[in-house]
Amino acid sequence: MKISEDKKGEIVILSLNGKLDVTTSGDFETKILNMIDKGENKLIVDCCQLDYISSSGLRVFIVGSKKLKNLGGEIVISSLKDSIRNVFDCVGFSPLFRIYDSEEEALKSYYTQNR
Amino acid sequence: MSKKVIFELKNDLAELSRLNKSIEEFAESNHLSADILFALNLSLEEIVTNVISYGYDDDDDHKILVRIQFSNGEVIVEVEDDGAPFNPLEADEPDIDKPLEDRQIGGLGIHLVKNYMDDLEYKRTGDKNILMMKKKSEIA
Repeated sequence: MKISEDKKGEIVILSLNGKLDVTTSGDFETKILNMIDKGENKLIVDCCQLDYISSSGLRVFIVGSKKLKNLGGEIVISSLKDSIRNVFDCVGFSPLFRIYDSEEEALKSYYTQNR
Repeated sequence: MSKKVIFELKNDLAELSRLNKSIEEFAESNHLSADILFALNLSLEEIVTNVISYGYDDDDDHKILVRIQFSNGEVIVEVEDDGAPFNPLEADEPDIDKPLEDRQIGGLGIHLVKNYMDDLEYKRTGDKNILMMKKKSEIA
């Protein structure tokens, strides 16, 4: 799986391309830990090219989200494919995250939030 | 009815990409839908990962067998391992209604398998765990 990284203001955007499974979820977790090390806590995970997720990937979303929330930030998710949304729904993840249809909407949500 | 295909894996997570490819080939040759393929890949990853990660208390090589067949509009998968006795169907259900702070990390894999496959059966035969999973194909 390829993960590309971008930054817009203080918001980190990680774009996942491919499959998030037991062999690739470690890279995703490392990226989140790296951003925390740099003092960043606002993350958008763009999933428009994410084709597959298993419990290992879900685990990173949970662990990463807890860590970022403890630092006053969060994980916002954009562009979930239906197959991935189904997995989220199955494990009750959908209510736990702010999920948007596009990266632009996810970005807007950060800027228009009252903190 | 398709032939039964048998894949033999070592107890190494790196084997999963080989299994994944084999399942994709099986799905293609049997004209299975993308949804069925997703369910098969997901369920097999979760079960096989559990076996590899938790099934053995030694550092030895072990064989895991995955048998798969498409018959009467149904995919039948069997995972056989010689790890410690473990029935995934008896594992505790995760609480999927808890808020983020209280969510546990474990248990999601088996929960996914139970939801993505239509039928599950476990038996322990000799020193083997055998888990059978079935998935109906929408195509007649």
